[in-house]
Amino acid sequence: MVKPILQAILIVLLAIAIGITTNMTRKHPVGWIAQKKAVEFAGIPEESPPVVDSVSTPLELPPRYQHGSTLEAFKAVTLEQAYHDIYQQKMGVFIDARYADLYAEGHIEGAINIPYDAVMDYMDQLADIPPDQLVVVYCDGADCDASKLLAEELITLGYSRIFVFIGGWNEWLAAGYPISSEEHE
Amino acid sequence: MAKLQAIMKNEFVVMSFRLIVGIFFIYASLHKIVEPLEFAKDIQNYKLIPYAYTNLIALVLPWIEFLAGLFLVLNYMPKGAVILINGMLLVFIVALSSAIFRGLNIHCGCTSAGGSNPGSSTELWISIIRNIIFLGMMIPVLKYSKPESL
Repeated sequence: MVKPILQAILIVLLAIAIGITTNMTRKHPVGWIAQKKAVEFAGIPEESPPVVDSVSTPLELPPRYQHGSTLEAFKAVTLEQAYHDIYQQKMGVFIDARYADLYAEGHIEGAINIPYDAVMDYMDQLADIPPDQLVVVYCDGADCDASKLLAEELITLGYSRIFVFIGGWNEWLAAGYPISSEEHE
Repeated sequence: MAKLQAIMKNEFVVMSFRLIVGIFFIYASLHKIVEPLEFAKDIQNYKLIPYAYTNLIALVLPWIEFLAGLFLVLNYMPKGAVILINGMLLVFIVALSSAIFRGLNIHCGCTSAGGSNPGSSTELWISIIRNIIFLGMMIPVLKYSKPESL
């Protein structure tokens, strides 16, 4: 029994060595320690979103950030801000950061799909969106990171008005706001 | 019972089980090796491991899967590989069960990430059943495999 356990330990050590080496040789090495994507809300506390009833109460927009900037480079919007201030007023573009199959099953009406891990494959869609366009990105809900990852990516690409709709698809769906799916289009 | 034991001892049966599970583990590891961040995200979704450690696990675990699978296929240190594979299968079964128990709406993260709809727990159930079958298949391999000397 001792020998198989030693073999197992050997395999694990080998895996650790290969894992570390391959990561170090990656073009963009993955951080050894995962960092949470911190977001702050757009000028309002998370607990009590105020009722904002028109465009005359503009959202606090983040300044244009430099390349490589990560935290605080984008801000979050609540369901009401996303719907009343941006969606209804046609103030911005909605981008669904989830995988294509989830987008196809259902998404915010009018939203385009750019899966967070495949931005480079969707450059055609991005080409239609000017860098100063207000963009709202979302994924499933508060627990997903896809929207934040995509937001970072878009900021790196030069977009200056990126908002993350934290409540995402789940909140939008629960609120009964306009949705569409590939099956119905 | 004796008949079952005879089947389990059968060289062809042991080899088939080795190849099936080994190839599956190699296959399952490939996407995770290429996309560690996606896999880290899948691990995070289970909410079982402190967030900070998920990247590290996502960078190493797929290589353990790959090497254990490869060694099983090659019949090189098969018993060591089986110990690791059984350990991983047990951990996966516990993680998947706890996800179902907690009603988490997540991807399994077992093979290629994000392949199907995480709206139902079917994917998780299928993975649990598959892992239990694999565990069963590993018993004769652990008991009766005769390693090649490389």
